[in-house]
Amino acid sequence: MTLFLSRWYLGVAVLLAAVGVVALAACDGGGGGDVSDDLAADQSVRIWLDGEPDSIDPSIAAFATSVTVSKNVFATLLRFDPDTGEAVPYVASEVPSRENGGISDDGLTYTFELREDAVWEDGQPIQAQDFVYAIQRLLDPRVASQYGNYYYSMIIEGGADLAAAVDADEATIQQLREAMRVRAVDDRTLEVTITQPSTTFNLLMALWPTAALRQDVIEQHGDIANSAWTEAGNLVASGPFRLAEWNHGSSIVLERNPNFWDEEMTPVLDSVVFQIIEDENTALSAYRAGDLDAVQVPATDLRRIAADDSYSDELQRVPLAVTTAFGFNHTRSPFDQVEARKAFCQSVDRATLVNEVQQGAGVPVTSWLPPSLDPFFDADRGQDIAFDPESALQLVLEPGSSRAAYPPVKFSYANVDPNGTRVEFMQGQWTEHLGVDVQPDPLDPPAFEEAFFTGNFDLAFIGFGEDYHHPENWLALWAGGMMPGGYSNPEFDQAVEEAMNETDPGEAVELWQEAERILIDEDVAVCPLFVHENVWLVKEYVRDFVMTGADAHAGDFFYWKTAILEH
Amino acid sequence: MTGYVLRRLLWLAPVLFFVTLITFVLMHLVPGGPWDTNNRPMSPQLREQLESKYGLDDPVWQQFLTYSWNALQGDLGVSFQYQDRSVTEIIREGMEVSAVLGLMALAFALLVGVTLGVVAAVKQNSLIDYASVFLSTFAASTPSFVLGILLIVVFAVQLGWLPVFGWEKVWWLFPNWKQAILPTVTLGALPAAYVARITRASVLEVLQQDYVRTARAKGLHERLVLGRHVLKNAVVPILTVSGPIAASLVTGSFIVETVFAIPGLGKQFVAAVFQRDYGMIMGTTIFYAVVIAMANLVVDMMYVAVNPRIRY
Amino acid sequence: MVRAATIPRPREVEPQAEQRSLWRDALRRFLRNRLAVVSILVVLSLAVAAVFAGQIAPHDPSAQDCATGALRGSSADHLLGTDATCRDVLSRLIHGTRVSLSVGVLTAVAVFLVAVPIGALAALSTRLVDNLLMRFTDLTYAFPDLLMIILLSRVLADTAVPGGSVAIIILAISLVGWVTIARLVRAQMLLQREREYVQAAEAIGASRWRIAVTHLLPNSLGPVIVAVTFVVPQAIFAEAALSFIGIGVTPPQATWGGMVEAGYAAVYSVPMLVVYPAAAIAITMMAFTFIGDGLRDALDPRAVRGF
Repeated sequence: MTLFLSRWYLGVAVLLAAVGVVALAACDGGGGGDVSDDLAADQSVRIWLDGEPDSIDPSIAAFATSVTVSKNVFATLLRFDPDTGEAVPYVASEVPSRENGGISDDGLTYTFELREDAVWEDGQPIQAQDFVYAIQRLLDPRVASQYGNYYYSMIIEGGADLAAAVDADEATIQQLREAMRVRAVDDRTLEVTITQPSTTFNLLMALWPTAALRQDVIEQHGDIANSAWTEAGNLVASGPFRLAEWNHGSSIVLERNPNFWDEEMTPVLDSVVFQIIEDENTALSAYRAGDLDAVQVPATDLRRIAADDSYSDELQRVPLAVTTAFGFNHTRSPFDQVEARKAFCQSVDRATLVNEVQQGAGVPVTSWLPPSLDPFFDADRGQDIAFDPESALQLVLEPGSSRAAYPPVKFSYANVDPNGTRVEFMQGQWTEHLGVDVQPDPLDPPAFEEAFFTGNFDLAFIGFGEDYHHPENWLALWAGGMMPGGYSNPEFDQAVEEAMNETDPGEAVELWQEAERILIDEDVAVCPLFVHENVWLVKEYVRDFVMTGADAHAGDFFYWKTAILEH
Repeated sequence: MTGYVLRRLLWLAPVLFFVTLITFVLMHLVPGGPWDTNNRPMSPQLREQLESKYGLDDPVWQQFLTYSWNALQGDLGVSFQYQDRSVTEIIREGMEVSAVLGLMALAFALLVGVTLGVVAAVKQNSLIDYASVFLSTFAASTPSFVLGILLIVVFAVQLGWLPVFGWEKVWWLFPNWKQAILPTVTLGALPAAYVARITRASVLEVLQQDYVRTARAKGLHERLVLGRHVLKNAVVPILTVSGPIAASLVTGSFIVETVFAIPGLGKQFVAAVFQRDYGMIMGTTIFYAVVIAMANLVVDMMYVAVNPRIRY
Repeated sequence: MVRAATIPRPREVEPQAEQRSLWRDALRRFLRNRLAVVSILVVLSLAVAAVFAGQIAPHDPSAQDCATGALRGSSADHLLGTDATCRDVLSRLIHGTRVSLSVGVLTAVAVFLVAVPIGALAALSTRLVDNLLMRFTDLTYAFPDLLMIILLSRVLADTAVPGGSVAIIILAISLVGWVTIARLVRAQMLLQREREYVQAAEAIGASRWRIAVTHLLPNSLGPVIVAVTFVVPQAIFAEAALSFIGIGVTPPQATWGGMVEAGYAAVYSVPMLVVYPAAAIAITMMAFTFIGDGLRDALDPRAVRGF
């Protein structure tokens, strides 16, 4: 009997030991260590990256991780001022405007004058031809660029024809490339003709897909569609940093570009090391152990860290221009009725979602445009879809509609962390407040994409992140019935059209707000939930790690400013 | 013997063919394509361009034939996800990591498992026996990511003895030894427990055999009894299981590679399946099938070396 | 002529039955193994918890107590605290017994039902059929398990499988797990075929079918049953691993694997959220493992006792 019991005692002992060890995990503290004001000898910052970039080729890059690297290694004609979101000069010496003659009178031709001193990493000057090649490649059907098709094929004169030439022979494609209205007037002057006057074309020219490309480098390592030119050692940089190492799946090391030509943006750091760690807990552990200098705080840990004084100097947070929402399928019952949409939207407790489930990371919103989109953001937007469970229930129980009348509804979402938790929360809300049976439908990301874009869903958990700081980026995609889910309202389309064509800035604000009003207050086309927040822990000895709302990855607009202090 | 090996190798061909075929079919049946557009609408035109670029606009049977023909020539295509990299290159880089980690874990599992099993068997019903039983059963009952984070918290964060993550090659394919310890232990814990159980049972059975009693009666030193008679005869079941164990370890563990941020093939493969990276899925499946078949063959061959009575 | 009644009976012969039942012997031996008996009791209480979960659990496992909040520690109302979406952990743990036990037991049953016929068929039929079947198992073996599980679960997810995602997980795990058992069945039957009693039966003139069913099969099943018992903990374990990878039972269903995965995400702030379900999994796995050991010791009189 004693022998038998001793086995169980042993088991219990082992279990208790494990529990004790795990509980030990809770005991930790941040901070500590003296930080001086002098720069350290080793100017290298180690930043967490949550996954391997799909490609840092500007024509192809789409993931946030890819864009971050691409942005810092390649230079575009214009770039975004991170505070205002406006276009400011980069390789181009001025932003084209009517006043300086950069934009023609009819508003269709843009002329960019390039800086004299802009050079590539290997010393060659950055020329207009490099941008011509870049834009031609961006729209070349053989490259199949997502961003190229989405933002540029319609606006650039001749772009649509080129993009449509799928499976055409090389001669035809070459012809179409040259027929496109993008040309180098001379080595330092680029001329682009667009299809219709636009208030946002300069913003589009500040996006990473338009970065200058070296035809000779790309062709040296492959052909136009498949080339190994982005590997370290092959890549020739034009931005503040160069690609020193790319250990696939493991780390990316950027070094200061010795030939960088912009005084202001010359980096202080010698190198930026991105450590690729998919697991949030491991990343946090690495930060605690001193193996990482900057890491994102997992949503489940925020409350503990925010309450811990020893972390107060290390915590940084900034709201992002990313709105999370759920979309309706307007062609399916019951969401073809605005009452149903409203009821579902009103019965989600956004405050609890943000404060409890996300432990405070984020800002609840009832508008599609984020608060950072000043002055287009209207604080009164979406009053009627704020959390109001009684009103929601009333809508559902109105004569002619009853609880049972709602068929079981599927809530589709991409099965990546942390979507599942949010979806489960909302599902519980609908059960509690409306008595409706909602089934979470987790799908692998590509399956979710397919379901969403083919309109095969009832509810879809979606998000939208701003590419450029303008309401057109946010609202144009709802026009013309193009948005999956089948939302279509000619009134809204007209409002967007008017707003896009309005040249007076004051009037434009009014018109864009009116468009959003139709979208949200009248039609409840989508139910916005909250705006994201980047919440990061950054070691005290990292100076000037500046996070902005437009970051693709925390701090990536200002890596050139960041420095390491002695510690 | 050579005849047997040749026959087994010949069987590899139809097996590989069917594996390829079934994977190809299943892959195309699964909803979702290889395009992840990051929530931007996919215009029909973009879809056309992508399908043309990757040859997905051909009928499925034609795609299969093209793929098979290329594969036979050693060209496994490009990854759809990481568009600038070839599948062969990704597999090679991934295997250099996963195989090394897997072999280390195998060595750990065999070393620890056999030792524990033998000790437990020899000192049957003692405290050591029970301790090893429970330890190994417990190790086998804890999901590896729980074990992993436990080890990280204790050894890397609290004690600071070992690094939290990573895998850097320092000499040929071998990593910095400090980085290798925690992942090896995490990966090898479950197989070690399994090997310990098998070893213990097997050794106990052999210890009962007549020839062991004879050896002892002859006055042979206990260690010689163990070494010369017991182990050699007890090793067959251990060999039986080490084949499949080796195969599964060497092909990489998604969980361990994710928790320790190790750029291995296990992680890549699962990610490829989730992202519907057709090129990677096909290439890696074929590769794995070969590895598994080889592992089984090696084990079967080792049987003969160990026990001359086994004939093929 | 000597009458039977006057011939003295040899002392060793048991006066009762002519045929000593293998199973009755096994049962007696099993009951003597205290660890196995305790494990059976553990499993029975888990089964009770699973069946009466609705009555035992203090809360509805899907009810969100927003007033208390998410990832809050233990309180009077929530003995084990709340999870990431304000639900009661204890209730979810109790309800999770249902899914975890079903996944474990039903996978074992499915594996048994598939592997035994295939293994027996391979052992009993012609060399060609045997070869083909064995090559087929080779093929299944050569498939990376995870690939098979992921692809299968994705392909089946679109169709409306009765039982939903739980059934899909069970199907997927059993489809990759039956091979070893089938091989074992085949090996056992081939072994038994060489035994003297089979030869005796053949000599008497018993049909092959009769031999197979009444002699070969029952005597082969011992190790097979033991192996199948071990499938239960393996399946429960697999469910936890699959949840981590992202292929689990669809929410909001409570499963231990899903709870471990969710707890893992919060391991720094509320480490106990991992410990509770992990302990549940560990205890259940150990119980079934000890039961399997007990069965093995009981069914094979020559096998070594203990552990």
